[in-house]
Amino acid sequence: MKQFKSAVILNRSIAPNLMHLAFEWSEDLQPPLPGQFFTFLPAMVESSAGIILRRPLAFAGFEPKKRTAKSSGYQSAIAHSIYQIRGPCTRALALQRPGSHIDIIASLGNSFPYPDGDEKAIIAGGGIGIGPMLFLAASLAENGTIAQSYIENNPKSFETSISGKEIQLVFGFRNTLFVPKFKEPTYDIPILNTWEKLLSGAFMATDDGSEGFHGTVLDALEFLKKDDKSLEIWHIYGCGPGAMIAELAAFAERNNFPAHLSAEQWMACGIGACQGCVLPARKGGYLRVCADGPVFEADAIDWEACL
Amino acid sequence: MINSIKDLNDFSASFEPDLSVKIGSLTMTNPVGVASGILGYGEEYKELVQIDELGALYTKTVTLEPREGNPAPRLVETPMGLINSIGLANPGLECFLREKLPLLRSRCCAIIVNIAGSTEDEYAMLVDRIEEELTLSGPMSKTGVDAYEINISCPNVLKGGMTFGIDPIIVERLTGSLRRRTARPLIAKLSPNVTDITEIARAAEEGGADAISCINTVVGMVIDTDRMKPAIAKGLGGLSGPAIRPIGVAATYRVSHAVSIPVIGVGGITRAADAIQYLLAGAQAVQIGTALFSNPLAPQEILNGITEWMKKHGVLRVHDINSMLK
Repeated sequence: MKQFKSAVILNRSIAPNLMHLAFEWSEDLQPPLPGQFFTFLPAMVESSAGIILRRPLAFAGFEPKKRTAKSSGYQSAIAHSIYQIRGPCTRALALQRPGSHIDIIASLGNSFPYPDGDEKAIIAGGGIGIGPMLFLAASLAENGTIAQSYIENNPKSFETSISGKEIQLVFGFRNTLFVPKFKEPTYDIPILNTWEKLLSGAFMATDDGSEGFHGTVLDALEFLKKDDKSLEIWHIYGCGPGAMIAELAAFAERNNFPAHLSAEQWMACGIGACQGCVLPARKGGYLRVCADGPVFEADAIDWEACL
Repeated sequence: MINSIKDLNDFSASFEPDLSVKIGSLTMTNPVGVASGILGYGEEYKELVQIDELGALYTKTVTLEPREGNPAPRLVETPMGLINSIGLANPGLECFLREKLPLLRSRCCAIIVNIAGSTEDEYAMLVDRIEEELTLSGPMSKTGVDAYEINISCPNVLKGGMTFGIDPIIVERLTGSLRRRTARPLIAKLSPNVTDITEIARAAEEGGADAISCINTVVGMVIDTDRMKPAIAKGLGGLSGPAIRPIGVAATYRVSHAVSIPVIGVGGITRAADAIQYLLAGAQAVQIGTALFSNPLAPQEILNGITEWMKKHGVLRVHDINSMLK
């Protein structure tokens, strides 16, 4: 864990109010893991906003330092995040240009465990929740049965594998306008290709049916479950709005599936000291989202009580 | 003799101000501490804050029994402020003694243990039990308890806390009872949620307190108009941050003129100038609270700023700042 000033590499809109941020990683820090987050302070927040707290954001990806001098663009390691413009702090962040600096504390919180060998990873993201889900999916694809080089050389089979046996992404959005557009002709960033592939291989659901399946992420899961005759054990991974997380937890419990869900709560310290960001634990007492989470086993939290 | 700007510049370049401050029998290496509830017991922040460089670490409140704390959500940000209702969540005295104290003992800065009871007896039991534990550590070794801060000002618990801190008779009796139990400095942390804070401060002094921490959070509330319910689960909470700084400075000013024991200023200190306001108002030392969440380097930056200010104004000792208010 470290506090550092980081240079913004990329900060661009990918959907209405949805931004993709890429920033320089500090060399002496371990790479972040899927599920982990950082807190930031933008360079400048309008003083009338009266903001005094850092904001937490989840990592959406990581690219290690490039080893060859030949490779173009950034040489340093790059961390990625997908964030929503919600208030003055994220609005200030959205205004930051490449080359400007943000104050970062990273890496914070725990991470998603990998699925067991016989489990199929069901990776469910709702809206802004797709960030950590893309990170998890990319990481599973790299470290699981499919090697990165294999993905690059065999994009077709990568797409098959992410929607095939090992990994199934299920993404939900309000409507087709909110589905992010990652590709950007001016930037040659490998992770954008990975995200594009993951998104195109994902089972898409929209609340109004304007793209893909008509319904919520949970409706989509129920649909896929009914269709699934394989009797495979699903390992549910989820990140999204509170109601979706509560539904995912109930779905996992009904089907007796293991599930790991990412929680959200207002934070003050972000590192486990202040006890401010707690959620009610199923077995009584409270758990800190920042330090005991943000990834929890589905049955650890009383999700209904959080709504 | 300083007769010109040049003399002053030469002088300020050539001397290092004495930053140490005395709170009762305790000498802190510098006036900048971190307030109770911010650093916990010094574990989580150890990679981000140079804890050993602090003047003092005021621990998260310790209660006799473990406390789960209040329901969620416990926090809401307000304009230049933060409302919290944590409810003194802590692992309880025995866990503190067993698991937290050994680590605190290894720290170089002063450790002020903040205590709260739901009855006057519980405060006494806390001090008795801690003192008993400390007799085992031998007279020469560092105890990990350099002073007590008596929390009689937490607005987020039903019993104890602020309910004691608003009554001068209880404050004097409680402070007196603890005074008979320990020779370590006693610091009474006062609530601003009273009609006359000087009355409470005088009661604490009368009871034998060595210092006053001034102030704890101000009772506040935010209502979510869409959901038509309070933003935090408990409804009311304690407001901290720059929003309350003028209240803290005023309380420090009034209290330091009402008592002869040292006052420790706390409330909304974010930059060195904020800390210096408190010192000019009459405080001998300060505590950084909410500001540390956004900037863990704040204590170091504030201490550096105080040092620079003292050099610029030719101030030899922190204590001397008190008399500089025009």
